[in-house]
Amino acid sequence: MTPPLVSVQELWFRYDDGPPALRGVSLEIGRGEWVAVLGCNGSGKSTLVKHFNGLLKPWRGRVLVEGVDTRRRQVGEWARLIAYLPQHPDRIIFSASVWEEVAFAPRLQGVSGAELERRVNTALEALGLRDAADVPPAALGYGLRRKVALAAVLAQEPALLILDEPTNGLDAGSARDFLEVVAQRHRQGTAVVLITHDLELAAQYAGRAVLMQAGEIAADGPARAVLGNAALLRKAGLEPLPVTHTAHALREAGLAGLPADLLLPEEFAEAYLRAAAGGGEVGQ
Amino acid sequence: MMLDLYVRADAWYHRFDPRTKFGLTLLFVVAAALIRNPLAMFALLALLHILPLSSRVPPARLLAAWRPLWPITLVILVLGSFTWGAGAASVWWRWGQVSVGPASVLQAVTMALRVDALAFAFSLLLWTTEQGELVAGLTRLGLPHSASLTLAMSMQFVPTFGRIFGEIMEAQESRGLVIPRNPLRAARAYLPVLIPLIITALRTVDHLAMALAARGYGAASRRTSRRQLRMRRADALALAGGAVVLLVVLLARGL
Repeated sequence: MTPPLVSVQELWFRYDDGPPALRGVSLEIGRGEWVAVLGCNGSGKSTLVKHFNGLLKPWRGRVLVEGVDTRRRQVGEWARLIAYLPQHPDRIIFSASVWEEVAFAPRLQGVSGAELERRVNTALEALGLRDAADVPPAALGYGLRRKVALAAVLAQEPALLILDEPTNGLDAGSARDFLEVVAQRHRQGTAVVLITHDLELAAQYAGRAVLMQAGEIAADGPARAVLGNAALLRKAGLEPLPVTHTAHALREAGLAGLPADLLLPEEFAEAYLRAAAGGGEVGQ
Repeated sequence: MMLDLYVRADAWYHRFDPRTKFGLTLLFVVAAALIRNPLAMFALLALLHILPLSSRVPPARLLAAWRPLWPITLVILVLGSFTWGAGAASVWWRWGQVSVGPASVLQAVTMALRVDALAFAFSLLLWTTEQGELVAGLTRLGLPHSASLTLAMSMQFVPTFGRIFGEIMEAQESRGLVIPRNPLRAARAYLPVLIPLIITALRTVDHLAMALAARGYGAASRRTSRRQLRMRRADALALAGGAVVLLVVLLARGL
């Protein structure tokens, strides 16, 4: 039987002498999954995902990638399988041109010649950066630097792409464009782990959601079930989506026929029209 | 968020006037420079541990200070023991010009402890003095306010850039960067880490300068200050005590 891409078993972790940041976390990430990792600040989201490629080593428990303990290899050796996009694009940008920046990781994997050209140009194309290929990336604006950073990790062509708050500082349109590029790669089979505070983006893209609270998993299941559970989200310090609020209020007011798991505005509009047409009335 | 070394506490060393703490730091530095005896140097280093601990600086902070220090200490101990020469009196091992003996080992121990003592002297100042107090103290000592602020900010930004260095290292390792053991190759391998660090530092400085200008820094010809510094009896006693200890060190050195 093929082992899962990532298997986290009874993982405990603490920074220096601090209190445990992770308390007995267990989960598996399969090939081709899109998992949103949610939780308020300090809940352990980043600490958890940094174990997937060995950036952090377990205090207790273990993390296996394709069945191999992450402690057995150096972080750099996991780069063929797992790519990690940090919150700040400036943490990775250092090259003299966008092309060189994107080529950095594949080169470290020993990729060269036509394959290197293909990887870099595919990533640049996907993010609309072909015209900026010769520009020093540090001279670009914030939004473009974010795109360069994403292109750089896409060129690693990993089996798992970890995105740590990738849409921070981007406007709604840019955030959506950004995640559309990731979605395209996901459709080609790449697993995605998305750390985000934006529940709407999680609802739109993730198939599964892991909700973290005080270093433990408060919920792990289909994104629709986790994101639609207002009480659970509030308990974990997150505010449910406006659609969940509105649908709940309308149901309380007596509008029958509105499903309980509505998350996105377009779903809500459709369900509302159907419920209203079906004879549901508000304020009975 | 600006991370700094300061440990918030209403404790005895914290309560000294910043000028007193500058004076005491200077005394510790001079003492560390003059002491030749390893036991006396060890006593100074012990004192520089007792002072922060008794002023409610958590032991974890002292351990954190030791983390970058111990490799340096070890290198000085090893290199110093072999390169300072054992002299003619007693030699444990000799190979050409390289020799090890009690004299070179004691000299290396003293030098290693000296470096540690200097680091702890400045750490004590930063653990117990808020940035505003540092600026006020330096300004009262005659330094232009802009220079005091620059100096204080530079010191306080050290841990911030330490954290950013760690984040960059993580990000580049995730892309496949492996730092080789060979020092020459390692120096080159650090480029993808150092360049983003420098770019981030320059951006931070730029943003900070704009933020200061936007808040009116430099607009007024004469600055007022909320923080009124006042030397108390405890400050005078601390400085006098420090001076006496230094005098003892000087006398002992002369003996």
